[in-house]
Amino acid sequence: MESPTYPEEIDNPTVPAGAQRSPRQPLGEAERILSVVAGGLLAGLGVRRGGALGWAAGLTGAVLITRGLSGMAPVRRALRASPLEDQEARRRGWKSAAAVSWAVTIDRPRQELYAFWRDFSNLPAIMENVENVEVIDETHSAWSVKGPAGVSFTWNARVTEDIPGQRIAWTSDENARVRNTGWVEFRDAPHDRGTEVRALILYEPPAGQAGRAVAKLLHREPGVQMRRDLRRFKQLMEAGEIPVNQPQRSVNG
Amino acid sequence: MRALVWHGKKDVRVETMPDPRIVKPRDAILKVTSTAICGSDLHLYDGYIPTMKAGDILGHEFMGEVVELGAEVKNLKVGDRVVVPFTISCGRCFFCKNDFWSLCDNSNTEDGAEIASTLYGYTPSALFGYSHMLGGYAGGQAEYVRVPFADTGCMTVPDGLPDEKVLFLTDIFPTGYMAAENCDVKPGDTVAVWGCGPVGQFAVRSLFMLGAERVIVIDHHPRRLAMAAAAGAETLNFEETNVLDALREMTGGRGPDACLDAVGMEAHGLTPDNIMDRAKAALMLATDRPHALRQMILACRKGGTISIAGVYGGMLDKVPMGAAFNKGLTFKMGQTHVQRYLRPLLTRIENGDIDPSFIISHRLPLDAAADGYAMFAERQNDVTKVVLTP
Repeated sequence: MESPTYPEEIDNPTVPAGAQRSPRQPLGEAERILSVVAGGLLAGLGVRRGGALGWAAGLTGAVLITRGLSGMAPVRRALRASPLEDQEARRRGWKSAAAVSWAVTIDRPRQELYAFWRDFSNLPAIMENVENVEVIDETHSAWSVKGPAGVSFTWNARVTEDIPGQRIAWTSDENARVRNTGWVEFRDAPHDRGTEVRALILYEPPAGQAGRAVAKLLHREPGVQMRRDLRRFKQLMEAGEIPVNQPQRSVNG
Repeated sequence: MRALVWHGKKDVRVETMPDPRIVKPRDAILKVTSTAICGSDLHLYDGYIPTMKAGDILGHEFMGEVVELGAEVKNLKVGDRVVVPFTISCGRCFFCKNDFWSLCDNSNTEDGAEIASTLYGYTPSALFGYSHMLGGYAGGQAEYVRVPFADTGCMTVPDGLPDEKVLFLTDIFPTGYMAAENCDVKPGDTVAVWGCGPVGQFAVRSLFMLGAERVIVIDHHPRRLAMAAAAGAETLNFEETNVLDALREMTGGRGPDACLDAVGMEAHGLTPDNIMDRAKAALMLATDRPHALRQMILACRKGGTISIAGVYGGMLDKVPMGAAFNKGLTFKMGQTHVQRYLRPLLTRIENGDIDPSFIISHRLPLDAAADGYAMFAERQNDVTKVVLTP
């Protein structure tokens, strides 16, 4: 019989969850041969045709040949979840899970950084995708976040662990549009370097692993956002401001 | 205000742009009194640097008068005359605190930092007027400029010293000096310097200040070689001389103790490797042309030091790593930590040890800046430093 309850937080893996990869995907004999043959045909056609389409065909053909000869499927691997993600998805009954993690070192005291983070109403200042955070009580808050294609996601979250100066963990309500859970940890950095801030988010990607890849390109994927948010956190805490290059436009503006 | 604006490859124009304004509490606005065109501006002009956008204001060597201050800037007042390092540094991160100002964690903007960390692993500091990957900040070849983190960025200069004597504290003098320091000069050392542009010229003079016994320079522009000779360097024209053989003999068969690269990614010369580099660059198989670097690695004495000042941005191909490894070479490099050198070098100028204005070959009004770029790119024998006055 399966246990009806499961822990509300993920065990800390030694390897950061966001850095784990899915296993290599070796191809079967038949598929390898097929890949080389198809690639050869495509490359040949591409060379003969020339022009932009010819180049595209030629390059695709070359990729297929390499794939067949090496026996590995790198694209397929990139689109698969890591074993940790598969395991967490099973535990929670999610269709799939994406784990993203990141770390920055900030030259400020641990308590100061924890205190800033613990007051969730501070977070929109460093999280560009967060439209609003409403702090309901000590453990409950309502979040509104911009997702891919400008669609807003809202959910309620509750704090599941709160160790002052060290760790804050949360989880979203079961009926959140995008179910998520995560933690942020504050640890003394070696010697005098300040504080290591580590964060992890585990979420259920709305369009599965493929959708996740697309979202990454659009910069709306939580892992990409987390990187940017932690960079802003460091800039604000150390330098006192988040720098902008006005009046010149930004790269994306 | 009038400003020098980048529009594309070999297309810069002086146009009217909006005046900068205070955006963040640590900002300052300067009225620019003098500004110069840098050799690395030519990489922008030649279209080598990615993430430029039409409408970007160029210029990272500038100085001027403070006209407006953000609320948090306590160490400056309106009316102060300041020089500004070309590197933008927050002053409070691990790198700034340890004197590695061009490695500041926090000055790059988020979009630029994303690109730079993807390309390089971690982002270096932002620079003025040098692509969006490095912050996208407007540069100072303009009438006014916004200086972020001004309390870390600006150094006041005494009224007694005219602009021309102190302007080059912003970039090329510290750059040449740091590259010279990176040679780890010991008594009796001979240092070979590739490149007699402004950075090379300051490197030569800095090397003698730091106690080098002999300095040998390599270039092909006769007037630039003569300028280096005026400081006491021995000169080699690579169009006329086999550089590796000459260096070996001139150093009694040992090779130079240190080699300094003041050339960077757009090396000249019609040697097979350089032609291959140009072909590869055209096909986008490699981005930088390290011809000088290859020579330096082969020329350097065993156990010697390679000091790299001249900018690289992307990927190198066919660099003789085997030579470097088997000879036990040390490589030192990086964008200049300008803030580290501002006061010591200002003191040298005040003492009369050096008058940096020797490097100026042309003075133009800002409105003629486009001509200045064209001239600098085309006539390198005659043009060393173009100073613009808004």
